[in-house]
Amino acid sequence: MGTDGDRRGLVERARTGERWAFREIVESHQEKLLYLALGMTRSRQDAEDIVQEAFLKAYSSLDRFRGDASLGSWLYRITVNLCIDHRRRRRPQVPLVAAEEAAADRGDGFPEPADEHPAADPGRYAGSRSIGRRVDRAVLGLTPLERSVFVLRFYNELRLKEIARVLERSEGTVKNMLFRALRKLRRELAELAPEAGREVTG
Amino acid sequence: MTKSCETGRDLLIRDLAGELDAAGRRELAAHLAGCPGCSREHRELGETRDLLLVARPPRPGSGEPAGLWQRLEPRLDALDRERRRVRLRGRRSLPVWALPAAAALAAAGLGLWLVLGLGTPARQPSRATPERVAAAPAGESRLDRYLARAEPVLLAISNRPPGPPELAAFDRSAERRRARELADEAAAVKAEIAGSGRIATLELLSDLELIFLQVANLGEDQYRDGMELVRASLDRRAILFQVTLEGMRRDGDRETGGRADRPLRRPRELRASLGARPHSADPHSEERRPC
Repeated sequence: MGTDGDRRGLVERARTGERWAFREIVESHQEKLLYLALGMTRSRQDAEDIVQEAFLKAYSSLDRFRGDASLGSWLYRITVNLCIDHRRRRRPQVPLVAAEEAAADRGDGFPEPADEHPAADPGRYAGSRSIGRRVDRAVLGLTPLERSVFVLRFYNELRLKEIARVLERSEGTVKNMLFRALRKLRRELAELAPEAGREVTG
Repeated sequence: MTKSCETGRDLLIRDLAGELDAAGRRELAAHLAGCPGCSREHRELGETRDLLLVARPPRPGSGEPAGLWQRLEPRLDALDRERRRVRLRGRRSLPVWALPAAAALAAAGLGLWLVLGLGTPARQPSRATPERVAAAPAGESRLDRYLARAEPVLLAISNRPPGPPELAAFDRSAERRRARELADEAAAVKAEIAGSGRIATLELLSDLELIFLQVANLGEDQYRDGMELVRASLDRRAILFQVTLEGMRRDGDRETGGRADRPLRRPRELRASLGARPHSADPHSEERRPC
């Protein structure tokens, strides 16, 4: 992906209209943004749409990229915001659970990664379609901030400090959000873990 | 929770996040050994984290989403074209309009509205509106009515977030129709008050005509970005402020019978006018705002 200097150079060139430079930016970030959007929306189609929107938004606001955040953090932030807006727009139209049930019935709402990418990690989802759905539903039940922290840490593998920069929050807030997210997920998924049935204290 | 549990919590979270160094791990282990509550929480949340890591979707492969650039590039082209168009029109609108206007003023009122009409930037043919050929005195009250109609629409454009992509084409076409009407109306009002010599008002009407034309001409494929550019243009030229100012001038003229030596509007009214979101004054202005 090159050094920070290279990337700053790319932004400068993209800003002056050199299309190849923007293409480099897109191609070096698209998978990471897709993984983030997939984790946030749990829908492959929505995630792809959001990634496209994120790059379009980045292109139209390159002039506003200040350069004090890294390019990656800036793109992550744009994507997180689009994912949150996306959920806000969808929520009032159809109740969340009903929409997800309907989507799951159609087989196109929740990603079924093992089916889509059998070669990527054979056996990961084998015999566990329902677990995948339970996890998706539990993650979607988190608040947008909790979900962002959870996905950025455990999917995109950003460090807590980097997540704080992306979300423009303090590291303490990020830690708190991660703790709350794990507690909520524990409650939702307790029976899937070995400690079945136990209440999480606190 | 004891003080040591608070410290333990911080260590516990960093451990769950995989960011605890060796010294931190020793400190955490010492705390957990003497605190059954934290120990159980650490174990349970650790299991949950492990379950979630196993169940996470596979990382996207190289080049995913496939065909992204091919889908993106035409949209970037459209965005560039729109930017060029807005810049071009922004540059053209004033000089083209202002030069014939100045010439006509110098010629001592020689059919100024006609010159303005010819000098207006190219636009699509307007609907035939009977009011458009009304006598000049009607122009002033028509200007008031026009500004009252335009202001909430401008506020709606300026305030709302970008429209959702799935927004029904019907709503957008209603908005475009509305914008075209307001653009046509701006041209008509401009023609009616052309002889008044109110250069600032005429310039404002030219700007409004251009803004509404931009909205009216937005294609589906460039809608969101086009609206963003329109909003930027509104901000840059402080159009809303100018509309409010024009309203204040006109209120003042009415109150003072044309003298400008009285306060035009009380500060509270001014704040409300600048900051208020549109209400029911114009149902069209609200029709597209996403929920």
